[in-house]
Amino acid sequence: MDDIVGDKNAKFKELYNQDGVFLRQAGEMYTPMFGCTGSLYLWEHISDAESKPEVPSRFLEWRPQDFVELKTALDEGSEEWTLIESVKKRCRTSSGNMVKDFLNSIGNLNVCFSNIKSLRCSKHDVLTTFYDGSCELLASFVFPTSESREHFLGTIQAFVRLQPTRRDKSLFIVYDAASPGFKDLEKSFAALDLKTDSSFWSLLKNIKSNPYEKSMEAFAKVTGYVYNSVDDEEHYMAQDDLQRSISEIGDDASAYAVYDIPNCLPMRVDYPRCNPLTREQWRAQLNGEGQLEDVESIKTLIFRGGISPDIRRVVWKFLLGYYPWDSTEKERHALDISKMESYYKIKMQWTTFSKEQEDNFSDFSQRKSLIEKDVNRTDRVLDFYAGENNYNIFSLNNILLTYLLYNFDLGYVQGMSYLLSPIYMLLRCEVEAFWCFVGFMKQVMSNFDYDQNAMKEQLKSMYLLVNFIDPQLSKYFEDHECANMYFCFRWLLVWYKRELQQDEVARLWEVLWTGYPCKNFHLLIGVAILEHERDALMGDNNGFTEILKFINELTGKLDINLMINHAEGIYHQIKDADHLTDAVRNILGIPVAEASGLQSKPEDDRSPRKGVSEPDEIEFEKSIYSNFLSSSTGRLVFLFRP
Amino acid sequence: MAKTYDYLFKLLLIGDSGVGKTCVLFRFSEDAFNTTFISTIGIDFKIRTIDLDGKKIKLQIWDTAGQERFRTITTAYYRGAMGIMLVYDITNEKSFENIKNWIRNIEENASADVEKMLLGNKCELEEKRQVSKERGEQLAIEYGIKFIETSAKASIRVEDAFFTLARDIKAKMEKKLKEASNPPKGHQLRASEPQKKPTSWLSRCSLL
Ligand SMILES: Nc1nc2c(ncn2[C@@H]2O[C@H](COP(=O)(O)OP(=O)(O)OP(=O)(O)O)[C@@H](O)[C@H]2O)c(=O)[nH]1
Ligand SMILES: [Mg+2]
Repeated sequence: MDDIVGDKNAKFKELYNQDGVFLRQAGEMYTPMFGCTGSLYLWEHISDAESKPEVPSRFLEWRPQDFVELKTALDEGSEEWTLIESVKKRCRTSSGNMVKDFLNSIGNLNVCFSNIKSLRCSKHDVLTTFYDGSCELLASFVFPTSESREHFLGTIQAFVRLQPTRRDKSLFIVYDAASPGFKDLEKSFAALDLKTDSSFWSLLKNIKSNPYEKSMEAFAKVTGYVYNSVDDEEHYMAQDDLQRSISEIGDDASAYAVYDIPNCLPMRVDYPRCNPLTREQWRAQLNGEGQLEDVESIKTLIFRGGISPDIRRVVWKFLLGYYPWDSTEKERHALDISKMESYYKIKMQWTTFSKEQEDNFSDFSQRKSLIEKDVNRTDRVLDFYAGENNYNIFSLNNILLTYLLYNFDLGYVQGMSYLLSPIYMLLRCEVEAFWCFVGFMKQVMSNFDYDQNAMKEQLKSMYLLVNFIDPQLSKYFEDHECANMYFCFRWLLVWYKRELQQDEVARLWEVLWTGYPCKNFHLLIGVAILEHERDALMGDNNGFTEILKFINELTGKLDINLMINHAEGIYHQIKDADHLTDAVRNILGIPVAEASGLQSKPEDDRSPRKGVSEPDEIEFEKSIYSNFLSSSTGRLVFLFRP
Repeated sequence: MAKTYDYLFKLLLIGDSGVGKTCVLFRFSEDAFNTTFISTIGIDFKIRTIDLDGKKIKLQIWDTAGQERFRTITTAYYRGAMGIMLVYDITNEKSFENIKNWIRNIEENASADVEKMLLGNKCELEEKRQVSKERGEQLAIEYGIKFIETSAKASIRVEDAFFTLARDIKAKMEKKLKEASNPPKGHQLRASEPQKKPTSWLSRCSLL
């Protein structure tokens, strides 16, 4: 920043000027000036043939007040350059042209405008904060009036686009309207149902009360402590203060948690759930060939809000691999036919067994009777499957028998009927339900392996995750002979199917099928539930039996949308944690570069990151770019660490 | 909080999938039969407190998934069980044959002196019977355990079964307590020895 203008002769035009702007926070070198009032300028380089390309086209400048006063005095008097004292620093000034020395004077805070990647406008006050691409705070100002800030924001919108983030309406991504990448981003945001064309002001005014905002205020206090405090005691005070501020938020406070300082996790950020994918949004993505234009946006929408019931039938077929994502309408027609043919071919294999054949094929007949017993005990309380001689039960039976022959090595294992039930109930077609079930089984097949190692592995992973985010709870499990986490067995075997209503199951599964935001997200759902119930779990000196009973009795009592919401928050806490271990990173498939700490610069880790992570992940991260930004709140919490 | 019972017994129901373990338990704890039952995934338990010879006995009864594949998980819950119900379905030969495997499973995972009992369920389905009562009795004698045919659906002898098992455990426990308070003089009896012998119902009762 010091060397903002290399060219002595560069000329600048003043785009904006406001006195009485209070500097709240900025880079460390400006610490002595925090809390000072000054003037904020926005300069634009007037390019001419001679100007060098290094000269930034625009930059923000903030000059402390007494400096400005002197300058005014000088303007009236001498035309000479004058040395003045200002806020403990020596700086030189001139009236008229901008020159290098003048700009380099430490007394001024300069921010190259192109470095500003996001800004936060609090609706409660006139605090405005600028962040760079790695979410590091560049500067935070308090404008004297809301009009003066409106004027500022109006000015910058002549050359940048401000895009409110989906999750945090007071946080805006700053796009250079001229940059080539802008169009892409604009598209992905359009898919996120954001009004890209509506004016900044109407958006800003419509901001609903936002708990996250308040936590940011609380957080600002903390950072204040961090900068000013020297001993640990004050760190704790800051923590208290934060906790208190959060508790003032009210009901939503439960969504936030502040953990013990030694294993400090980044602050939990709330990622609100959105509306389900609508028919219109889906249709808008289909081109003339009936091909999906932007698969990642669609998946993002599904992850964020699920699918509205009227288009589930279609979309599940994509999610479960019945149709490839990039298929055309024509290709799908062809698939419908070929899948029907192959289904009936496999089905025929068992429908044509004679009685003797079956009797001599005990592996088959035993499994057959197991299937029969299970379909008769699957979701019979739902009208769809209720009653004697229900045709739908008959269909479940057919599909599972056909799957038995399709994958005889796996065979039929208890639990599978529960995975099929919601799929068949939605599709109501044996052929489609069969192939979609095949798609689902591909994801969870190992749950049913004979050795049950995959299940044990998941339970172990669950323990590690709990241990990472809530060591007190994992310690409790350990002390009460529950460290094997067997009480979560049912959750994981059938993906919470037995704990939820059918429509809740549909919502959860479609979210999980997107594969976002990380590997094994279904484990984080469980972690979120355990964390949510932690007090009840650890209360009354519960032991092994009480915990199992408590967990088994959660059936029908879970708010699955809230749990998805918490699980996502937990994911980001883990991903951004300073003490992230390889074990935890592997469970969630977090690439090493992604888990970079405070030190690394975004330029350094973003390009290699593309190489390491799946393209899906990058797309996802891009379309919810706000993730990067909101993680900044967490990063500063790291400063607590002794 | 005051204890509402004198003894707490942990019991376990095992047997092939679909033999009716959950229904038997539901009959005993809720005195009902539900045709829309769900298969057991993992493990669950129910509680019922019974009166036995003036003592309040809290029965904590664990219900396990029948499919063999899940045994690695379910056997973790065998530990600490004082009584085990081995359940088969009289209309299903295979479930009866598998009792041998279940016994082996107990020997490997449960404590050696656990009380066992054999249950032939669905006994009201006489017309579909595949396993005769005699074969059930024979097997029980072989293992030195008690045997009862039950029906969760028709509510036949389910209470009997649990009361019998509970009484046997109580007898064994009180005997142990007595031995502990006045240890036998002279030749030392190994604690596990008498329990391994198939003791008759009457001889047990007389100890009380
Ligand atoms: N006729 C008859 N049917 C019964 C009886 N007990 C259970 N059933 C039926 O047998 C089937 C299986 O019963 P469950 O109690 O679920 O079997 P389970 O042993 O718990 O099976 P898993 O949980 O899979 O290990 C159900 O359809 C019941 O309706 C009985 O006494 N008579
Ligand atoms: Mg059961």
